[in-house]
Amino acid sequence: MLQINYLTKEYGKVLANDNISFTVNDGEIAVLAGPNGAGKSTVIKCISGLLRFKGQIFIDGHPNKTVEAKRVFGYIPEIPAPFDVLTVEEHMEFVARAYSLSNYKERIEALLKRMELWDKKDKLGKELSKGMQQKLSVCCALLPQPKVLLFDEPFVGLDPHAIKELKNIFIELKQAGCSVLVSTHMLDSVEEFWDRCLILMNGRVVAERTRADIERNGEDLEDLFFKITEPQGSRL
Amino acid sequence: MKAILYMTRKSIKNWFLDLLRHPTKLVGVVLLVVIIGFSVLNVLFSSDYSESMGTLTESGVDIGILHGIYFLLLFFLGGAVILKGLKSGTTFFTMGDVNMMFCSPISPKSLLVFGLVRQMLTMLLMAIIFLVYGGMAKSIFDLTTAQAVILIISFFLFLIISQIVALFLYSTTNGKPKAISTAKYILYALILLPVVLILIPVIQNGFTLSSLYGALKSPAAEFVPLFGWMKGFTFGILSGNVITSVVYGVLMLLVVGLSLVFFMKADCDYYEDVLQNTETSHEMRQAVKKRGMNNTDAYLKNRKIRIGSKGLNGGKGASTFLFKHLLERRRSGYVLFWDMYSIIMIAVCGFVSFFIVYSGDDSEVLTSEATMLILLAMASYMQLFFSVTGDWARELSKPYIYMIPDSPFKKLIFASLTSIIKPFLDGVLLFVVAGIICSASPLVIISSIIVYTSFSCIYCMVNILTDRVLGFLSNQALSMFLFIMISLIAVAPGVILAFVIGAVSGAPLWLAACVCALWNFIVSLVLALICKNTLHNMEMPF
Repeated sequence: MLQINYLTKEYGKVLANDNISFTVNDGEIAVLAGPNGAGKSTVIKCISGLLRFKGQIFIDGHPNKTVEAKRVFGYIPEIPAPFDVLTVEEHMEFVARAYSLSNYKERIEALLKRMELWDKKDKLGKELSKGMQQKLSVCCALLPQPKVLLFDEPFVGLDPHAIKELKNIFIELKQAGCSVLVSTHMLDSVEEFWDRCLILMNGRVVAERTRADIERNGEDLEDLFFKITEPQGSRL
Repeated sequence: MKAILYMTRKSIKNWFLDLLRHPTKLVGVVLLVVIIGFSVLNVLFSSDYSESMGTLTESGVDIGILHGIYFLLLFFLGGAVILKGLKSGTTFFTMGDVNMMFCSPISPKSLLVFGLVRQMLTMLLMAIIFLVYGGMAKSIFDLTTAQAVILIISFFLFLIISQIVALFLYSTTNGKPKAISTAKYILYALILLPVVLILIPVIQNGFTLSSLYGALKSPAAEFVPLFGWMKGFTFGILSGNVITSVVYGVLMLLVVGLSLVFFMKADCDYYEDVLQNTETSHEMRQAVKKRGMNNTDAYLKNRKIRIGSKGLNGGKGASTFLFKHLLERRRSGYVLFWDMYSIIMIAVCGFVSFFIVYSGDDSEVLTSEATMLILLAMASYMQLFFSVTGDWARELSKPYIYMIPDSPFKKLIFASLTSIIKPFLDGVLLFVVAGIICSASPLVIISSIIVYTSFSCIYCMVNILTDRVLGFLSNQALSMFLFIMISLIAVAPGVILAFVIGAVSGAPLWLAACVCALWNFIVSLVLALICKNTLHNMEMPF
């Protein structure tokens, strides 16, 4: 489970996140949506422990910066950052060793084959295209079998096959009881599997809906998004 | 041109405003200005000074050393500027320039001049660090204030001339690989020529320090185009030799004039050349801003890597970083951590030790201990300038070091361990070789290695501490400058203590040096403990 309480993040005088609170339960996929600069990526980075913040963040009951929390969450950044002179397979080995995993070789092979990287396992990080780097990021995050996963714009740069595979992975994670938080602009790409949607604007959660809420009210998520995020009468 | 001037004006204004909004950066810049101001005042007002220039007087220190140092600086910095401009004059520009200005109706030559001027100003900023040595040069070489000022100004002038020559070379050779090769070989010949011209009299007159100094002072080296001419011009003024200074001054003016004339006439179609190099350079700058780059990364970006054997071969938890770094270094072409810096350092120190041992008359003989001490001081000082970034800094731009489930202290230690292992291995190579040349005892060799390694420990920890305390400064030059200053302050007490103990107690030099090592290790440990939770409190730069 992922629990965020009164998360506030300031960059100088700019309030990137303003008192944000929400929960992502086990087996739930939550989507963070919002216009550019709304603070979605900042939320993800604060949860990942990459930024200082005010408030509380608990991952599986542990504060997010503790070793116990780090063991159980994975993070896929918007901009992948592979190591230039490590091969694809060595990236996976690095993660396996860093997370003190055992019997990981078969799992590495399975993940790389699934993301169509097995035939590129000896390619260096600097030789990979952006899409391949993104796929490698996903593989590295999934290897430790985390209980909480954070995806920051995961579909950007992926080819259609990889997008389809990633969607299947989301469904499998949900069925396995993981808590997944996805930040994305592409609402239609998460249409099939989201359970909770948080719409951010100017650093605040301005709307929160569950799938059940939307279906009960007869709302359309995309229409709701536009209604909230666009100023009155601004549609062309 | 108006658009370029507008952009420049606004950039400078916004830089000042940004400085006011970021107090840490402002403090750093103010500190830099204070130090530069102090250095300038030191040059102007230190020791007794004379109103008139006069001739160079030879005090206890041979003025040939000043000739040699000046020549070396011209080569290393001026030569590097020209070579860089020739190979990649295309990195005068940023992606912003490419996207906004290249497509606009601004003349390519105006853009090239703008790129050059901007590059020149950046170079001057970095060369300002030499002002710090102005006062030292004045007192060591018995210079007047005017002479010291002339020396510094002429050095800056040469950097500007180098940029103009680089511009001329680039504009006339771009897009012509053969022309670029020819120009490069000519440049290499120009750099090698004075080495030959200096070595010949040394070999003829005997391999002694006095013959080396004589060769450095001789007019022969000043015949070398560009570098020699500038030296002749400068030292002609310093020694009051009007004819020499006029002749070489006219030659330098001709070089500048012809470079500018040919540049104006050249066909400047360089946009395509710029594009790829600028994109690569842009990615590197972005990574440097995120502290993701060090010399290894910049070197590796465009280099073909041989994979060799695969796998990390070790590591669990935080120690995985150490094994990853070992793998990366092996793939970067290092042999047991020894790289170009190791070669340069060993070459310089080996050369110096050779000269100390085999030159000079009987009255100038130094003990092997004293020789090793000189080398140790030199190598430890040089190490300072090469240890600004390490594997630790590179890790900070990627999320792994923050996320991996292990204690922040262990991650800090393992991720920075290679910054200590490498200097240790450099020290082993350097001091064993030097020890053999000097016939030093094993105790002296071992203590030199230990002391040298202790300096690497303290530099590494100061680097981490400055990042933590000052935060990441986007200006790399400023960041480096502050790191150097703080490191010198951190090691000073240990060095002073070692000298005092050596002088007062009469203990062997190697034992006194070990006191310095002890101080360094203790301070490193204290700094490591202070920075224990650095990772826990740091933010990944985005």
